[in-house]
Amino acid sequence: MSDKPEAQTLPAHHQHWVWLVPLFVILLVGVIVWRNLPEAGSPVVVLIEDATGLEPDQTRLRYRGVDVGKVKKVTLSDDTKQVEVELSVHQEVLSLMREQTRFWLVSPEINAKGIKGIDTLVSGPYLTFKPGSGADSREFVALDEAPILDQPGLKFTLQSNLKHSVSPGADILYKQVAVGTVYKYRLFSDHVEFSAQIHAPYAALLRANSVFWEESGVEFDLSLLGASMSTAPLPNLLRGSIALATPENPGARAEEGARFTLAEEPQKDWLGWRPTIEFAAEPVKREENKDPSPELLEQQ
Amino acid sequence: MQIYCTECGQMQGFEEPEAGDALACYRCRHVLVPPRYQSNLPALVLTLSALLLYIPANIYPILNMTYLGRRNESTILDGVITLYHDGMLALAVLIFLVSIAIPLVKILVLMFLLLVHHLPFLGPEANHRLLRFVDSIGPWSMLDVFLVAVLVALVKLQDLARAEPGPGLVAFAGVAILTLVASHCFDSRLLWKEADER
Repeated sequence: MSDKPEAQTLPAHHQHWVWLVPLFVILLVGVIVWRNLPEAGSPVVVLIEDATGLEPDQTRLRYRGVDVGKVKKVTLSDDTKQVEVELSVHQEVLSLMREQTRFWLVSPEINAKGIKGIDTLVSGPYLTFKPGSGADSREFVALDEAPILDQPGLKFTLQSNLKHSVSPGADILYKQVAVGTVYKYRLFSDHVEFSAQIHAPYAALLRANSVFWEESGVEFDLSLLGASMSTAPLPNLLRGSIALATPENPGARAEEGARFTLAEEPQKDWLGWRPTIEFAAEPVKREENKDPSPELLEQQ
Repeated sequence: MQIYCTECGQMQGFEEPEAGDALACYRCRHVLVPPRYQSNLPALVLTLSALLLYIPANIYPILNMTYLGRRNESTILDGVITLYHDGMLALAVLIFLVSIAIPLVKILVLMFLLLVHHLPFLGPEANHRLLRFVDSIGPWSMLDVFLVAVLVALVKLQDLARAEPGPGLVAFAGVAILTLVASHCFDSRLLWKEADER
C-alpha cells in the first residue's frame, strides 16, 4: 500500500434551491390565510324570548336548509327581558332582510302535526327566517314558533260563541279535505273571533252564503237501531277543526276580510250540498310561494 | 495527510478542499468533509421561513372535530387549555412543550446562532452545544402532527364523530420540518471559524 489513494473532491454546488423555501412558505401562508378568511357577513340583530341552545359561533342561520350565517353573540337586552342575538348574515341573503322578514328558532318539536326539526336533536337548534317585504332592516323580533301560514290565501274572520276546541293551526275542512287554516283567535267579552284563511287555490269555494260549523272530534249516535261512533283523524281531534260548506246555488265570491259565523252543529241539509264551483284542484306547493305577501306574515 | 472513511474504513490521503467543494471517500463515495460556505445563509433562510409559518401554526385550528353535529375547532393552545382543565396536567405540559415551546426555542436558538453568535455572549463551545441541543430536540416537535394523524384515523372509524386536520396543522408540520432541515444545514464550522478570527 505504497501509493495511497486520494480522497475525491466533489465540485461545489450552489444551494440556490433554498430560496424556493421562503417563496413556498409565503405562498402557503397566503393560501392558508385566504382560505380561512372570516366569512364575510353583515350583522343582524334578532330579539328572542328564550335563547336556549343558542351558542355563539355554533348555531347557524339557515334559509331553505342552506347555511347563510351564524350566531356571533348572545347577550341579554338592556332591560334583561329579552335576548339579543347578533347574527352574521352572508351577503347573498342580505337583500331578504326586510321589515316583514320573520325569524324563528327551529328546535325539536312534537305536536299534533307530527314531529318537526328532529335533525336539531343532535345538531342543536338553528335559526331560520321567512323573507318579507318592506324597507331594509337589520333588527328583528323573533317569533315564538314557526309561522303557521306558509302559503297565500283568502283571509276572513269567523265569529263564534265559544272557542270550542279550535286552536291556531286547526284545519278548515271542505268535504273533509283541508282547504284552509285557522291562525289566530281573539277573545271578546261576548264572543270569540277566529282569524282564518282559505288557501289560494280553494279560495273560490268561499262564498258569501258559505256556512261554517265546528267539527267535533267524536260523534256518537245512539238510535233504536244501535249505536255508532265516528271520530275525526287524530290531528284534527287534538287541534279541533272547522268544516265549511257552500250551498248548491253559490253566492258571490267572498271578499278579503269577510265575516262569517261559526255554527255549533251543522244543519242536516248542509252535509248534502254539492255546488258546482271551478277551482284549481292541485294543492299549492310551498316552493311556489316565492314571494309571500306582507299580510301573510302579519299574523303574529 | 490521511483521512479515515467512517463508512467503509478506508484510509486515504487528502488535500484541504476549496470553499464550496466537498471531499468524498474514493471507494464508497461517502462524504467525508461536507462543503464549506462563507455564510450560513441557507440555514437563516430556512429559519426565517419557519418563523413565518409558526404564526399560522398557532393561530389556526389544527383539528376540526364534529361530534353529534357540533363543530369544534381547536388550536394548539385550545387543546392545551382543555387538557389542563380536564385534569390531564402531564399531557397538557407535554403538548405545550412539544408543540409550542420546542418549535419556538428551536427557532429562537437558531436565530441567535445565526445572527448574534459573534457577539461575546457565549463562547464557541456553548454555541456549539446549543446547536447540538436544537438538533436533538428536532424530531420531538413532530409529535403533535403524529397525534392528530392518529386521532383523525381513529375517529374516522366512528359514525357519530368526524375529525379533520385543520389549516394550522400544515403550517405546524412545515415549522417542524423547516427547523429540522435548518439545524442540519447549519455549518457549525463557521461558529469556530468566527471565534478564531476574533
